[in-house]
Amino acid sequence: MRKKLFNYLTISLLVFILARSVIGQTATSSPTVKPTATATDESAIQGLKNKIADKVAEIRKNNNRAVAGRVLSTSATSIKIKTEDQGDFEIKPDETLTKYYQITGAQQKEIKNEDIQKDDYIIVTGVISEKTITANSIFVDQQYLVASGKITEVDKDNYIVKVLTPDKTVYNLSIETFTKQQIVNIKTLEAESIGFSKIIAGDSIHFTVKIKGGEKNNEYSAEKILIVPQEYFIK
Amino acid sequence: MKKETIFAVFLGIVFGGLLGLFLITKNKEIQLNKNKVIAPKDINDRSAAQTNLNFQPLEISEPKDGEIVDNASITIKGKATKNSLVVIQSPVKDLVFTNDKEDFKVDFPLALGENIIRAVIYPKDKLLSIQEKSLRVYYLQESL
Repeated sequence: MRKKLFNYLTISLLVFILARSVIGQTATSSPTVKPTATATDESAIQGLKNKIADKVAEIRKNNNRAVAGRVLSTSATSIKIKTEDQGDFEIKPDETLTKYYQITGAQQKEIKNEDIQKDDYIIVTGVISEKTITANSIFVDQQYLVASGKITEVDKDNYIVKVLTPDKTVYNLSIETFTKQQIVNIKTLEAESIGFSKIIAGDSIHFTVKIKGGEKNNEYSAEKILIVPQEYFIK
Repeated sequence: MKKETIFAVFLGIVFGGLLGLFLITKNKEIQLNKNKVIAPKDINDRSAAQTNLNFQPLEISEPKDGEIVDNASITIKGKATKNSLVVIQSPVKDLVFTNDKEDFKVDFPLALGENIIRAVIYPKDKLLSIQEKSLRVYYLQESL
């Protein structure tokens, strides 16, 4: 009887141990499930991060404005510029975020902040608050003047054309060998190449000049001119 | 002096006065006829009214001044007086056309950097003045 009882106890103990080991097995199997759950969480976090980054980029893009002007002064922490029609602005570059570029024709290359010099013509993009710009990017570019008016005088000896604009500004345009000279054909409205002799006082003129910064008396070398002959208006 | 004589003098003064008045009035009429406008008045009024009716101030709805784009060309949309000569100029392109309708829409190339785009309207009607508008568009390649 004692032996029987002993056997029962032994069997019960074995069953208990086996049962524990089974429980232990399920417990050890849980770590294999756990990493799957973490990966899902991580991808969710990444997705959220991407969404936030997209939103930030969108807000930055929406608030991104551009202002162009000539550099008055530069320092390590700010650049002051004078714009054509909006007054002066102070630019606050960010040491790590702000990028600097030089535009030459159709090319743009990255430069350093030290490359920005006084009298450079720059385009600044960023968030504008009153007269201060927190700069995202700064581009050194070529300044142009695009205007039109009536030819009042043609100096055939010095190849200079005097132009009066509607706002009563007088420009003296020097017609150079590189100047692209064109006239509107009054029948086809096509622009045709011409020589200096075809420029007549009384014609309307549309012109483009490069501004270097030190010009006086509104004297410029014309990059290109387009003449609308007075005959067009009397036809 | 006899009564008849006084009466005759009085009648003479009255008739003389009336004749003078008649001559002054007639003379005024002759002067007015000499200075009258040759063209009928209503035609002038009609022409001015027609001009006002056709007038459409220059408007550019696209692009906006100061806009930043990342494409090398844009579409310019606007309104101007019908049948005007439209000149759109920039450092890279000059475009000349007449607008058959008030609305116009043209594709326009851009240079990298700042683009000053100037539109000038020469109306066909000589009574209307030339109109112009300038705007700046920035074609920039930047990473935000």
